[in-house]
Amino acid sequence: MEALLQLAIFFTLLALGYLFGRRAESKHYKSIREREEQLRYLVVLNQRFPPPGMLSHRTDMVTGNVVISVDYFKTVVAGLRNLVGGNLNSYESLLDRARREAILRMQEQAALRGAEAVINLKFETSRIAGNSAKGIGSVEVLAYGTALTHPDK
Amino acid sequence: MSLPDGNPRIPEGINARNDHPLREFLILAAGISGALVALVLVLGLTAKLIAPYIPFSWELSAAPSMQDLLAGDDADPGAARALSALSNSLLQSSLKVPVNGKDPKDVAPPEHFRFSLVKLDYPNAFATLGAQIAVTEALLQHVSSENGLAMVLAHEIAHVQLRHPIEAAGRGIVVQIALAALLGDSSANLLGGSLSTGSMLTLLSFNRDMELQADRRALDILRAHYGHVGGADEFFLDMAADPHSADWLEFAQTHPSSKRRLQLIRQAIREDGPGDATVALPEALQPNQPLQ
Repeated sequence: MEALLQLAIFFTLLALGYLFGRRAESKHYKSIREREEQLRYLVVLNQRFPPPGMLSHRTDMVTGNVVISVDYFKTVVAGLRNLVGGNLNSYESLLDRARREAILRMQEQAALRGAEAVINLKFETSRIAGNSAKGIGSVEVLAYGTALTHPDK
Repeated sequence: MSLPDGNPRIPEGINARNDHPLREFLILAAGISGALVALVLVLGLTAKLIAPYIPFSWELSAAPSMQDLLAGDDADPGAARALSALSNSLLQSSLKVPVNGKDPKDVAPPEHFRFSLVKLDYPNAFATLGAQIAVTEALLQHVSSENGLAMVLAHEIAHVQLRHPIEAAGRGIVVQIALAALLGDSSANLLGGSLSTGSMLTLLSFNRDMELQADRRALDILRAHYGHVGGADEFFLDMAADPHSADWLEFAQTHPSSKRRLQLIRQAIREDGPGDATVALPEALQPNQPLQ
């Protein structure tokens, strides 16, 4: 009886994780694509030095930071994947979203300053260990770079 | 070098594939549960094959004491003595019936058997590790002759002599260890019970084959003891008379295929023909006897 109850809880969590996680993911991807389109003009590069024409531009550090939680469904899939190895597809989309969202937030900061470009883009990724003992964790992605703003602005 | 006009459009589906997440889940879940079922079957079969070769002395040292596990008040000492006397004489008769071609004395030395009467209010009987056999007081209400009670006792003696407790315990432990090692400790909870609790050892669950085997041997023991198997179906008949009673449901839950077993016993009675009269229960075990 107790085992049945635990199974019921497990499947409820799984279904909730799947429904809400899937909904959140597709909404997030939609918003990411829209904002990427809006901020496409603000060039982001990973080269370390400003291009020759921008040597006298003002430089400021801009950062974009995002924390995304894993849903229960992804954790279960990852747990199963753990046993046999292979691509962890469910986490790949999670990190893909986090990185793109972090760049977008960094671009938004740069846009507020009136920057023309962001160079020297770097990423930091860390795990937020909060509940990770139970298998539910969240991931933090930080994107940072140097915004180049025209000296007259 | 001049700046590009804008950031490139990132093609979708390269860094994160657009596969449906349920697809991955279903493939993984099906594959892994299939492998686990196969593993459990193989381990269970191994335990079954190994069980007859585990020395009885090992079983004795691994056995928890039934008294510790079945927390109940002490039953009436007179009744307990009478039960032990009946059990021991059945045990002596059982030594005349070989176990799979082997002498029962070598399989499970009779001096290690312990019989107890426990004060529990649902009718049941158990055999567990270390040749410990318990009958609940409530069971006595459901038999009307010594033969009926003897069938229950012989059945439990047969379980021990067929090494069912060590097989069931071995299977349970091996499977739980394997699952805990593979899936982590939480799975042990999910599948019910942990290794440390004694519950698993007290109420070892015997499967359908084990119960039928034990019944066949029990009938042989009764033939050796009384010369006939009359009255062997008493307990089952009495219990099954009211198929909706809580006692029967409880019993059916811990003993699989009760219907099939009753058929087996009745068939044996039919084949043997009407035997001699059944023997009355020893006075101390009669249900209406006022408890001292």
